[in-house]
Amino acid sequence: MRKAEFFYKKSNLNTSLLVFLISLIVTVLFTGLIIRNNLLASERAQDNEIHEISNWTTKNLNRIEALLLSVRGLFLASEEVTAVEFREFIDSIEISKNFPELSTISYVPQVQTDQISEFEKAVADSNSVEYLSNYSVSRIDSNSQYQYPITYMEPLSGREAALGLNMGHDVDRLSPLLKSIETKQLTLSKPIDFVTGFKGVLIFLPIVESDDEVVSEVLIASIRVEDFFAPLVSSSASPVYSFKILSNDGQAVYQQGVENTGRHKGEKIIAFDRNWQIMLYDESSHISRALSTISVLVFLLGLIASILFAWATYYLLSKKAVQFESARTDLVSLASHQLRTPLTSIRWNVNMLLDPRIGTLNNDQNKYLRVVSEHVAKMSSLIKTLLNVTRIDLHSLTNNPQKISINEFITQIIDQYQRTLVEKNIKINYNNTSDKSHLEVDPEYFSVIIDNLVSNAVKYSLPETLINIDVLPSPSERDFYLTISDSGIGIPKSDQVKIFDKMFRASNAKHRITDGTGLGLYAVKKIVEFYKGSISFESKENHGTTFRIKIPYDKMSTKV
Amino acid sequence: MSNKVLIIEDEKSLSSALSDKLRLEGYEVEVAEDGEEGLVKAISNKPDLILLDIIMPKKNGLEVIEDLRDNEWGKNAKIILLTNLSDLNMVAEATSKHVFTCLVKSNHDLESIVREIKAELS
Repeated sequence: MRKAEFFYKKSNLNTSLLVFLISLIVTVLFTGLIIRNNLLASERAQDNEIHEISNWTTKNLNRIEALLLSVRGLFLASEEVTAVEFREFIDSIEISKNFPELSTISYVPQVQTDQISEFEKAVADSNSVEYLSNYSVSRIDSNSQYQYPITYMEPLSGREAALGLNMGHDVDRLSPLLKSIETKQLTLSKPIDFVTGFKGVLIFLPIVESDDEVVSEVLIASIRVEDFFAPLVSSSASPVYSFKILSNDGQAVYQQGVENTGRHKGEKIIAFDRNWQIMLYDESSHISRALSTISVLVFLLGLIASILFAWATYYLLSKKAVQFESARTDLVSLASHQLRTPLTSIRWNVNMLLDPRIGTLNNDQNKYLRVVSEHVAKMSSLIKTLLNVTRIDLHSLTNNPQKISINEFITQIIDQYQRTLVEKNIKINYNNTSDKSHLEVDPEYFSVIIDNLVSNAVKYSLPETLINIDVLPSPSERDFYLTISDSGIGIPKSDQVKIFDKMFRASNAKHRITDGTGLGLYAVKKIVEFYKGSISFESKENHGTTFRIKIPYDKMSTKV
Repeated sequence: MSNKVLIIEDEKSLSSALSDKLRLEGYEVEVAEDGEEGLVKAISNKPDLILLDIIMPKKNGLEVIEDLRDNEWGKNAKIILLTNLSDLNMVAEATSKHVFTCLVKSNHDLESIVREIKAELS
């Protein structure tokens, strides 16, 4: 039975493996779906984030632009704006409350270098504010034609020293200033380190009403970029992003977090009538974006479920196989004991009845009993075939070799068909030309092989023909070699490939003789193969068939 | 002098036909219906041949062989096993106890069993 168990275990293992794989594939697909969703969601989040930053930045830059435009409006509205009027206007705006990122707004006129002293005097004489009386312009040692002194600055508190500071004292301040005068457009400086320690940008707005006029005054707002973006940074939904604001000349105006080579997105915005670019960098790794807790959990649960499914399948199938096998084994023993014993009993008791020493029967009684005897023998043989086929199907063939005489064994089998041979006038010519007279083989299986081949030959032979059975010397001297040929109905060409299939009967055989099982040649082939032998045949319909079997002696005599 | 044969077989319909047949053939026949009875009869009557069924109540055929082989007379007793097809594993075991002839009952007519007995006793 060990072989049978192995057979079942192997097939159960395969089925369980299949269940595991299918379950695993479903898990992987599910996890993949979640990961795909995660990635899409992260993509969407990044899109949202950059939109949010863009909108926010645009809105706040526009707010500052609007502020500067309104201050310019003040200067354009009157011939002269006094320091007090400027202060009052700025105060009315409540800069520190409404524009916390705005450091100061300054008024800077363009003054010819040779008129600087007159200019200083004029400002001091205006006397509009007490501190302007000390007004002096820091002169730059240059050949520049113009000076750009800070004249008014609000909110001023603590910054008196900045008054009179010349905006031309460094190139980072001077160049955007000149550019704004030349283009008459709002212009932005590069990021600058302010004297007060913060980093920021300057926004230059020339005070001019139309493009025809010559610019001689500029408004300058200084913005602390940290403070400008502070509300955005603190409100930013996800800390996994870095972003960078670039002005249209490619200068970074502001950078929050670290620029990286990973996933990034750019978006253009327009503010101050110019293009800006916002770059958003995703700091999270690809894996962390893809794997959420849920995806990992789903995968692990799926994996566990797959293992459980596979185990359950294996367990249930094994249990079923054991039940199934024990049912089959029960059937085998039932058939052996319960069916065969009464049949043997009938056979032997009929044997006794037919013995003339017990008493004489009349001819009819004799005839009837012989029919009974023959059919009992047939039924025994049918049971034997069924049992052997069951063993074959359960892969539980065993080999218990015994020494037998080849000639005696085969002759005895032939003798069983004596009556049919006489009836059909068929002769059997048996010859053993091998150098062996005895064999070590399991007589049970050997008889299945020989009996089925002889029985087929007898059954399907045409009347008044000859059957040749030859045990031949095998070329290798290692094989039992037997041929059996008849002049019978033969096997139709189309049926030849299926002749060893279980329950198959050739179409012409079925037609002529109805009581075959289609199990004989199946059992013969399986047993021959069990002994690592081979079986072949040649056949021509209506001419006859020759079967050849070749079985290694050593396999027949090995106990299994 | 006629040969003594002991049939140890629990199925009466089989043992009666077989014993009648053997008596007709001139053997002196005794029948036991289970292993225990068979063992007692074998050791006390010392038959020339024992026909032994395998699956039996009280003591099965194999146990009978084992006990016989322990006995001074029994270790050389001639035994033919009468089996059913499904007893093959037991047959193999019996072979290891020097029982070399096994007959599958349903494969044989009484005639051929008599032939085997004659061969064994010759």
